[in-house]
Amino acid sequence: MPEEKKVEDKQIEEEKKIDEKDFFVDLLNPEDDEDETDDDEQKKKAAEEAKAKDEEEQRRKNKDAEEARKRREAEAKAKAEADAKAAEEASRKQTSKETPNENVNKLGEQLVEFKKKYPDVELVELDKDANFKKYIEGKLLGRKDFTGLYEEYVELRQSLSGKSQEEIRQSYERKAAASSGSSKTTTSDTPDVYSEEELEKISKKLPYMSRAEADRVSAKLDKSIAFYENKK
Amino acid sequence: MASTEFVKLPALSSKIYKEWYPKTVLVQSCDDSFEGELNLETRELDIPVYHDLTVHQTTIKERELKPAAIEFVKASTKRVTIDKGRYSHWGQTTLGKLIDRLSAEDSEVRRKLVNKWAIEAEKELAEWCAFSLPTAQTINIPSILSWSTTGYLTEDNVLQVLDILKAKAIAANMEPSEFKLFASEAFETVLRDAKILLGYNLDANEAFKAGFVAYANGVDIRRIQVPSITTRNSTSGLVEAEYAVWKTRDGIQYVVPYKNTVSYDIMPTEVLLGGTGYQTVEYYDFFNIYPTRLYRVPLYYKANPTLPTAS
Repeated sequence: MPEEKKVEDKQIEEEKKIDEKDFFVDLLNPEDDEDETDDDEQKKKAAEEAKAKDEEEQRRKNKDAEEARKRREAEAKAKAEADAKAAEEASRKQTSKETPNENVNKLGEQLVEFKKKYPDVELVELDKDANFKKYIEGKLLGRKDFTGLYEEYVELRQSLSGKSQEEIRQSYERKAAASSGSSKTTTSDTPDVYSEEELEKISKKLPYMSRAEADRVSAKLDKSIAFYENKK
Repeated sequence: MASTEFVKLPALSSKIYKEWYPKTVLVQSCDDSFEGELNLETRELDIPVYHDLTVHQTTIKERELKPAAIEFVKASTKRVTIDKGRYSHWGQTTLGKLIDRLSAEDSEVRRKLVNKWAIEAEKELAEWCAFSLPTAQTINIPSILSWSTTGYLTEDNVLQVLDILKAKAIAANMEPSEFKLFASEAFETVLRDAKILLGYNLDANEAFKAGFVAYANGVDIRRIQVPSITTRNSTSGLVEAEYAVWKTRDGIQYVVPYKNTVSYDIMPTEVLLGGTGYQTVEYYDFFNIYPTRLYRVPLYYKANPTLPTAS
């Protein structure tokens, strides 16, 4: 027990010594308290400045990185465009080199297919049809083959003239039969008359027609009127 | 198809026009071309203008250096306003079939209608030439040949008269063969008396040309039958004086740009059982764009006659 008390006393004594020492230090430096406050503020300020500087630095870095990224992207895009152009040019050259023969072959194949599907339709008669030629202009050897274009044209004529597709096709066949004599002859129940739609159009136009224009339609018009009168 | 009437009516009008037009002589001799369609609201229409092409005198070298400016001929048109119309107004009862009788190929009703239309058209145009042209467009034969009260057209001076007509065309820098003379049957009689009804230079088609009489002294002569431009003897009906017409084809531009037949219902209160009314209509007009290509020519066939006057 007495030993324990001894140790405690020693500790207390040492603490006192430290307190005294601090007291003297304080006495020797009377403004130390204020300085301590200023130092804190300065430190704070410096820390803030450093932080702002860091942030500024970071922003700059980000900006630089963004610019670099954009530059890289632009370069990549320009390169891709140049490559595509070069490829297109190359393919165009390639196509133009092979155009004459290959196109003829392709068209030939399409015409053979067409003849298989429509053996009675004479290509010569189609060729004589100026409207058909206009219709396929720029479309030949495109996405649709010749047969597709022909079918589309027949549909279009059907919707404009009111004739059936069969009638339109027969018109090519009939001409063919008359011109070549080789195709089989076809007979139709419908005489050469205007369709109802055509008749309506003509009836509106007729009052304004000149003598020459009226002469051109009059024979077929009379026949058409007689035909529809008998049909009633 | 329920009914073909919507097309039968304009077709009937077209048929009537097609049939009356060849029955005329003077009307048929006019230029009938037009471009586009008649605007029914403004009544405006474009008719062609026939320019004379200029002939340039040059040396070959000069022509290579300075070619003359091109002259566009076909593109030129003149906008005119159509102001005349004629129509026949007729109807049929519910039981009638007049429209069918008119449309039939050999319709007697239509033939009568067509004749009347032709006579009316011819008369109107001839009267306009005789009475409405300015004095400058008169070739006054009685005055030129000093017929006074005693002179008139005979077999002795008929060639001279034809020469005067040709001279008028030549003086205006035109080709006399472009002109035709339209006169009554009295002129034909004088030609026959003079034994100059020449036919040796005719081709087979000449005889079928409406009103063709002869080529005499290089002049194409056509017969017109319009009583109102002649003065006739009250007893014999023979022509004593007349206005003949001396013109080129484009001297008169006669256009018929609209012809139609319109129908409307007639109530049973107006006609027993009701019916349908029809108007066969034509809009037309004529123009003299080139005054030097159309003349009226007073002619006497007896001494001191009276020239016809507008009624």
